[in-house]
Amino acid sequence: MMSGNRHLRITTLGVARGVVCIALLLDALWATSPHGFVLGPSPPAFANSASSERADTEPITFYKHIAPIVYQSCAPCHRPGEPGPFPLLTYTDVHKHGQQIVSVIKRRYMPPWLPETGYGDFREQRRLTDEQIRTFQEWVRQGAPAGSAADAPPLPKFVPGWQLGEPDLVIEAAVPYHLPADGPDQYWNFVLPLKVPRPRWVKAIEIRPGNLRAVHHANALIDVRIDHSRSAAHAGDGPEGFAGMDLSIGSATFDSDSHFLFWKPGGTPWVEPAGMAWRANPGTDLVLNVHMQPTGKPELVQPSIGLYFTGEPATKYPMLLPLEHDGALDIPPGDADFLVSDDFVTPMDMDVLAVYPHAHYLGHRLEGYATLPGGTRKWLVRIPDWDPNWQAVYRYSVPVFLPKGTVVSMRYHYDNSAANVRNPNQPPKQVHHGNQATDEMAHLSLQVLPRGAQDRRTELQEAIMRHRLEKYPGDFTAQFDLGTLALGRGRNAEAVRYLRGAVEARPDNPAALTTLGAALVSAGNVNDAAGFFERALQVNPRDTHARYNLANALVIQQRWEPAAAEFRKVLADNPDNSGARQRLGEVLQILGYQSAQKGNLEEAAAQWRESLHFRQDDAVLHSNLGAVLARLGRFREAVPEFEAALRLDPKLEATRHNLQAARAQLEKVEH
Amino acid sequence: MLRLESSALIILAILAPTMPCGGSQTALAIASSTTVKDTDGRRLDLFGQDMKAVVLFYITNDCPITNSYIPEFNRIVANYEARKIAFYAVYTDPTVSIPAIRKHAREFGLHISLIPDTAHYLVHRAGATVTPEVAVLEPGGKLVYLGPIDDLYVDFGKRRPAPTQWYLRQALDAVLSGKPVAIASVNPVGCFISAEP
Repeated sequence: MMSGNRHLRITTLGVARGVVCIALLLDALWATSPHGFVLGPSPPAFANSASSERADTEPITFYKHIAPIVYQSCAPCHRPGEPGPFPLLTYTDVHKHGQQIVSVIKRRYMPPWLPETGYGDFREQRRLTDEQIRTFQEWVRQGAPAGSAADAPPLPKFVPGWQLGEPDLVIEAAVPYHLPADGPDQYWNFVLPLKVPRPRWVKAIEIRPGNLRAVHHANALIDVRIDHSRSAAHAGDGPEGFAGMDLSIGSATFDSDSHFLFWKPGGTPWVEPAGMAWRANPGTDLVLNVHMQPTGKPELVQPSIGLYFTGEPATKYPMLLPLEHDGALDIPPGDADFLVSDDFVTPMDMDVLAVYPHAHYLGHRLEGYATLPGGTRKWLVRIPDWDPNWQAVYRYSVPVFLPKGTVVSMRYHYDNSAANVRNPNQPPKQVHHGNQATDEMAHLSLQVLPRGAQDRRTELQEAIMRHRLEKYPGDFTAQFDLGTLALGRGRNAEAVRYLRGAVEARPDNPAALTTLGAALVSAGNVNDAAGFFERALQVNPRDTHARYNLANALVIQQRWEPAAAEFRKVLADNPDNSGARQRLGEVLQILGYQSAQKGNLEEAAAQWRESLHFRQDDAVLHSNLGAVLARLGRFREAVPEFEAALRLDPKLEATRHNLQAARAQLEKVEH
Repeated sequence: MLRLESSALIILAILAPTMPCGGSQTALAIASSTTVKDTDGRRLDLFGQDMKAVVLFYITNDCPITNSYIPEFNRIVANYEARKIAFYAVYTDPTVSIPAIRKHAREFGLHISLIPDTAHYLVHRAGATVTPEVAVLEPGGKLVYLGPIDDLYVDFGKRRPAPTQWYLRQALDAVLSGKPVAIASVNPVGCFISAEP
């Protein structure tokens, strides 16, 4: 979180075997948020009580006791078209792999599920009970008999292809990633432009990782603007993708991280609850961070996403609450239990909908819990033996209510000893925060929905950033966000203070320079403001926002000529900038008056003509131009201007008089 | 030699040249006249050629750990086959078909003799329990190494960033230099070889 050339906020989410996860930056349509919400569809339910009902004397058979376990917990991935390397659908399949299954379920390597039972109640929990494991072991020990097919539960109905039906929009990565046959794990960020002609509300997204053998997990963010700077960070990166284990995205507009969009093998795609759709805007990108493991032969990986639209706009506004302390990651070599913690006090009542823990290869025990105002501890998640390959977003069966004043805590334990076989540094070395596999991260993201009738995300964002500033004094992001928030709320002096801090942290950041300038204008200090806009333009002469703001500052300073020059430059880069068109028209009108007053009629006529280019419907402007032209004796040009003015406003009596006079002069000249 | 599937411990068997082979290894010795059929139906005599050692690579076509090892195995083949080491890919799935074996070998670029061992003749002879696993046999059938290619995998889901021990290469180097194989047996991590149908 500390690094990267972001302007506002970074959401860094990690990645796991067979897991595709998307976090979304929702755009800035902030509206009311009535409390209470409806949960998405339930996962398919299968009869799963057989093993616990078994009488001790009854022989264990596949059809009666094993099939229900396999159908529920194995088959979703172990079936054709899914990432499980072999199918587990029939007696023959399971019998053949019986010993293998016992071995992996005993270790709880399969089914992959990291959270400890009893420390958070999650949906789609794919974890076997001790009783189920014993039943399976006993079955194999007894020779793995089939039993009577009449006892078999119905084979689960799996939907082939897109799980939610044909998507409204499918976007495929333009270029596949070429994964070599072997070598270290690869991380690649695919850039998928959201090709929507107009803003759409998205109720669900389905991700197809593009190669089920190779893709371990992926993780995506909506990039709310085309941010070309992000792809210039690494050699070999291009517009279609770039390298990196974690994703950080800069945003030029104040948008909020809001949704986890997530895929895991065999899981049902998540359909957002009613009122919690997210908006896909034209011109935005989806960035899919994909973790791939070589399979033994060269593979092509070409993910695609399917979007499902809804006509129902968002009425509830969740946010991703980031607990993190990357700055505290300074792990000495050999330290087998290095603790990183973060504690955040909730500024309002809220419900936690989902949680996403993330660390790299040194992460060992990952804990998240909440201490309620009364002192009671509520566990959010506990992962006793972290494995980044199986990381996932976990959604609560029932949202976890946290009243205002709750302390939400992250406690992550890291093992940087040589005994940690996953330690990427052998021998171990000092490890800090970073997005390489040899670096570490400490993130616990919670999707929360503030309670209350209004949209309270700004309030929450402010609390998050204040907390961040406590952790990282002088931090650019915190000061920039807090300054922007204060500016939006009209607290101009506070905005200037934070934004000066942001500029101090990053003197060459155009967004900070421009926003500080805007805050200074709001605070009435236009003279200083113009200086910061000019500095922003020195950093990036193509920064249209800075130039537009500079032009406006010049307007306030009544420096009309330079203001007009800057507006013209804005329009040269962006001819459709309606604000600049309008302002330039006004400035030229004023310049025309000044010229006319000084008696420079030719100049006035030229300025008003140019002004009319942007103000064609201004009757007075037409009339004044006509008057100046008449004074110059150019009656042939004056007449149509008077006529245009009268067409727009027939009540202009002086203009009517002028028109008659001009026509009379014209006749006199011509006869 | 007892190999516990639940243990991740490496069992070291340091055999001095003068030390007689252990009972279990004697029992696992493969008769020198052993012949097997490859996927083309050709009868091959594993020890019939003038070879210094034979490597049996036990594999299954649906095991991800096995498949991920094929590039390294191919590199070992390239490094050692000219030095009179013979390599065979032994397919252990009792239900695998010849066309499936050929397809798998083509996809993963295995260019050595492919032996369908559906009856587990070679599995039993060396005592292989999982795939991937390699057996190194000297002329006369003496088993000098049985275990994984290297120590990349410690357990299911526990993989090192890179190997620290290259068991198969070390065993072959020892054989080629006439020295005893220092690490003769290691518990492998992978897919259990299925019982015969």
